[in-house]
Amino acid sequence: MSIDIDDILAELDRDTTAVEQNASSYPDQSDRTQGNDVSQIRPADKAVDPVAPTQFNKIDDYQKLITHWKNERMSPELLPYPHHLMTRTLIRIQERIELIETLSMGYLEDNQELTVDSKLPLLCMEAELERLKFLVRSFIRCRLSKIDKYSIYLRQQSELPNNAGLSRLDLLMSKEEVKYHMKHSDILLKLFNNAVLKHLPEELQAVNDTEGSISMIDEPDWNKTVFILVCGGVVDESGIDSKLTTDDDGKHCYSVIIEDLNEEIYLLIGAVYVIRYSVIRDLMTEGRVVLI
Amino acid sequence: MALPRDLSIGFSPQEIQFLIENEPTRIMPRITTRKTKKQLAKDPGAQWSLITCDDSTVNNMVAMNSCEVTLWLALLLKQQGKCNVVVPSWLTLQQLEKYLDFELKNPSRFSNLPWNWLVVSSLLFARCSDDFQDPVHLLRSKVQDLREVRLGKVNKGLQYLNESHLQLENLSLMEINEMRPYACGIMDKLRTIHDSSNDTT
Repeated sequence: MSIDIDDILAELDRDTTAVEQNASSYPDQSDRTQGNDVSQIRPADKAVDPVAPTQFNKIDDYQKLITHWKNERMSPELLPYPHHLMTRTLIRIQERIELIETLSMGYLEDNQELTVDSKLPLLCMEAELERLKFLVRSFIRCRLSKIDKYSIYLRQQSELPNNAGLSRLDLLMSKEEVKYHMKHSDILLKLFNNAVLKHLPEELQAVNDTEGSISMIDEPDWNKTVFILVCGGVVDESGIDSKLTTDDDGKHCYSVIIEDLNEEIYLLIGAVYVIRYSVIRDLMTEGRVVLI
Repeated sequence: MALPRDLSIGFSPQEIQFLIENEPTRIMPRITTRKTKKQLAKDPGAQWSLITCDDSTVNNMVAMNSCEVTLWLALLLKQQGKCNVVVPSWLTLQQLEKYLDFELKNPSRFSNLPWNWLVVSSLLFARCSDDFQDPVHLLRSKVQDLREVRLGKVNKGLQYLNESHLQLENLSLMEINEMRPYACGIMDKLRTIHDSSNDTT
């Protein structure tokens, strides 16, 4: 058992502030590891700064965010956090809020010119801002619910020896999410322990028991049925999609194999399928299929 | 908690509408936003700048010259009385009649309506009913007919659910989302049954 719940609980029980200390030590680490790849590039070379909103096409970014949102909503597992994309989007939102404020202040000052026509761009910009804010909010809410659901599983994964500790959680979640995850699961475990677990016999106290017939760790259902749209369009340097094959009719498709059933399936470009998640997971992370 | 349970199963109809509102549509503006450099210098605030879609078209609108903008923007302009929406070519009595004909003649196939037809038709009926050439109540009833025929087919198609996979052709996003909870539930169950029957043999 890689996570020993008694250790965590014992540590928590000693002092209430242990929770805060424990939790705050993680974001610090994540700051360092994640900060490296972002901040090292920034001063060195402006042209490839991945978080500067001006370097990237805003429309592409918006479409990408929508795709991330759809995938996140429909996939059973927590997907890696798009660090750069979200940073750019948040900077854009911030700039937009400031711009709208300045503009509306300007209108207030010389209100003799105030007509419906001159307000129209402002109206549209506000509507657009609300749409973008909704998207970001819904995306984060969906992620938070998954972080809650799989908190013990995520904890266990991050402590597996071959994952180099916290670096994996860093890629998977944003700084704030890591902080929330740590703090929330600590508080929850403490509550469980104080309310119920400590009154139980010792051998029943673990919250991550996998010995019985049902594992107590909620793991994502890798075989969950999902709806996918095969979009393709991912090409390597030579302009060819290496995974693309042709079926019996000569149409372009991806071939996947369901191992349990020993069945090979051709996924045609542009078609919609209902299929288990584990089979198309790789294609989805590569952007070849989108969950819908 | 962070995400209500009903939203974790699928998208809500409003969210589907949100997605489809990002798709482009053709409009006939009633205002001119194209500005000379002189005008721009005088009043920079009147310049449109958008962060989720292409703002060059809205900055170059000329009255009565059709252009393409995203659907949400078109509906907003329409609400302000600044444009007319060009009704898509499939949303006419004649075309809908053809689709309906196809649906009735091919009981096992779906006609190739655009994948946003349900949302677009309901939005346009509600928000710009004056832009239609054909009487809206007739169009409405045709759309309703289409919807019912297709819904019947979807329900009939549920018997083909299996534990491996299924290809859906010509179903719209809304229709897919409607069948999601049931189809996913059944396929998950079938898979579990299949797995456990394999375990015992």
